[in-house]
Amino acid sequence: MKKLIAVLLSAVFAVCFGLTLVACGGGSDGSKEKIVFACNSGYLLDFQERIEEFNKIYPDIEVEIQAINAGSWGEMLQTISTDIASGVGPDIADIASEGMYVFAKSGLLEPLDPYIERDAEELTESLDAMDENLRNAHVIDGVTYSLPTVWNNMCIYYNKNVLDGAGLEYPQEGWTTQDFLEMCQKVAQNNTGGNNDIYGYAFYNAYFTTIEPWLCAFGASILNDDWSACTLNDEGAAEAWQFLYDLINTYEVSPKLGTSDVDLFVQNRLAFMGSGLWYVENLRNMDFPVEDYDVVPFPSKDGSLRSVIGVGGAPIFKNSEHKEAAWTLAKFLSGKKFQEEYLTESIWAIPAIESAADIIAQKEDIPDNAEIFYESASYGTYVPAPAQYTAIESEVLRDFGAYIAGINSLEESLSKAVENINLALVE
Amino acid sequence: MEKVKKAPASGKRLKRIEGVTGWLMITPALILFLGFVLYPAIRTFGLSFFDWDLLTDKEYVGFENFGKLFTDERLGTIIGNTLLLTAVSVVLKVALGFLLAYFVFRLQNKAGSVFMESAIFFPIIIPMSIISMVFVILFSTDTGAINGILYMIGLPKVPWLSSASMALWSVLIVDVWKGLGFFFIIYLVAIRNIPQSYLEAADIDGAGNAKKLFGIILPCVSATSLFLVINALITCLQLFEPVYLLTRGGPGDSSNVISYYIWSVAFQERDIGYGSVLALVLFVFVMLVTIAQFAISKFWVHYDE
Repeated sequence: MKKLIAVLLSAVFAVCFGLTLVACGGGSDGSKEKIVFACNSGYLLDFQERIEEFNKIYPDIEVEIQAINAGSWGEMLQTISTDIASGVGPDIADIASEGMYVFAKSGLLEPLDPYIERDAEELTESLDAMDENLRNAHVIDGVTYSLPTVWNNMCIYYNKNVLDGAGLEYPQEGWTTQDFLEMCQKVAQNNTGGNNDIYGYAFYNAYFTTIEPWLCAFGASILNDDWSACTLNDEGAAEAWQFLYDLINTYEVSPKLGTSDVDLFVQNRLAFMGSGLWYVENLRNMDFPVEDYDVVPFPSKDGSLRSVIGVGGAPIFKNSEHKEAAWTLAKFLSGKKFQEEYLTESIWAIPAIESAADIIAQKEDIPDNAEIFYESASYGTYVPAPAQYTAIESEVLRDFGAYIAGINSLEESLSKAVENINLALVE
Repeated sequence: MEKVKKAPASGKRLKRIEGVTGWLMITPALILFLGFVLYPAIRTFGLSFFDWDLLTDKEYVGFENFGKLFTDERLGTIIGNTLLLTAVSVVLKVALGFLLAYFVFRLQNKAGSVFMESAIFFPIIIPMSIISMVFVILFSTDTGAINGILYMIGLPKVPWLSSASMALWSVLIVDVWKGLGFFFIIYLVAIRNIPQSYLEAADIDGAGNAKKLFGIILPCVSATSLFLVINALITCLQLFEPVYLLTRGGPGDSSNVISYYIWSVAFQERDIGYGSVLALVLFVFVMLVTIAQFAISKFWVHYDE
């Protein structure tokens, strides 16, 4: 009897164990080549749809999406770096400019030039449909580490209701930082410090969306052209930081740092906010009518066209055992046909293929001046993101925040930033 | 005689079985401790001797990372913030937790008591991430509800998260609001467990409420207080989530605390070696504070025999 019970128990355990293994295997039939694709969890649904389309064309490749919950590109890098250090890194990942250098310079990315050369004929149509500035975004020291997929720039969104209320004309391409300031002052001239104040411009302590675009507007940047030294001690940098400080503390046309710009905007309490294409999606989700706002390039000190751009790509990791399958996915994501058909619905970023961007710009629920998004590809400068990006971002945000809050003077903040960033670049 | 001979053997066997049972019962906790506490702690100690950025190979640098402790200009401010936050948070959580528990204990209305218990305990079950997101909205200087109310009653708006003088206190408010329920519920159970005969005897002797509070209730819950103080100290010294979600340690370093700084050094600056040294410093400090707490507890903690 005891033996019988033992045999029965063993059988039950064996079945349970077997079922568990099957469950862990995720139903893989073994004939497919499996690759792991890492992306930010915010884009999970978009990528799930894209991968479904990919699988219709390439049924032999099984793509497992590894969604990373990260609030910034810096955090995304930290997670992937930790995974790679633990030996469980992905085969391919959706990474923006902010992450490309660090992985490339660490020798973790597969150089793609041999693949591009081999598949040149197949790639010609897609590569020719991209702006050259985008095509070269991930060429580091002469080596291509990724084809561009999507990208973003920074422009100014303006609220027509607020400007109409203040009796102002809508801003035009070529406007200056002085024009911007005067319009902000006009909008906020009747403020009393109460709960219904109307502001000119609201901004965050953010690297890509605030600090670098405004430096760019004053002809400065966080780093020099080859990203080998910090240039925050330039005159333009001091002007830009002083300008932002004054918006809040001197002219009082901006709310305190970190106030939600989009919330004020939809309440018709904000004239301007800075963002890329993704705010169109935000405003759409908040039911703010597209007729009530439009977009214009960032103002600059001399009225010239300037923008900062960040370009996304899908690099392949060197330690991947499925590089060919990963390359197939990379080509698919940057492909003209795919971008025209599938990247025009979700508008969190601008497609690298110009014709796909044109399809978005011509839609009815897109602001009238939407063509400025793709136009900036030609004149935009890459967001400074060397291998030490996360440390530099952290330093810049700390020093900028300390200056705006009045903890440090302008000179102290900038010199501290220059000293520590240069130190990080050397290390 | 036979029975006398067998008795010690049976006792030994019983002891052995008890021993094995004891080990079996602590095995799950032991495995978790070894795998998720001791091993990472040893690894962290080892990593503190290396220069490592997570991506490239480690390089042995001896005590160089430890030397950074003496040249790090930010560390003083961050340790100061951590100690200030911990001291105020521990006092508030323990004092308010006890006062609320005592108030609910004395409440005659059962429905009111149940409502109070639920309301005060409720924040415990909400994840800190959600609480922080809500407080970011509430704390907004120009659009937040708190400042909206302050303005309506004629008070000036407070830059809760954007001012160097307020950011740390805003983190403290969220931490205390979220953590208070735990202190309250533990104190409430401890007060309710005080033998009724003690309080009745005090009543017969004509003791007033103050006498009962200071002469019976506080001494009877002193062991609970020791546990809660140690718990509060350890959790406050390791506070990370509200700092990360509300202020990111800013503006500047005005709300930066040691746990956030460890994360920032290790994973933002990718200096795993120095991050490990900072983690070891925190570990040693928490251990010393806990030992000190136990050492001085004999002067104020009363264990009911």
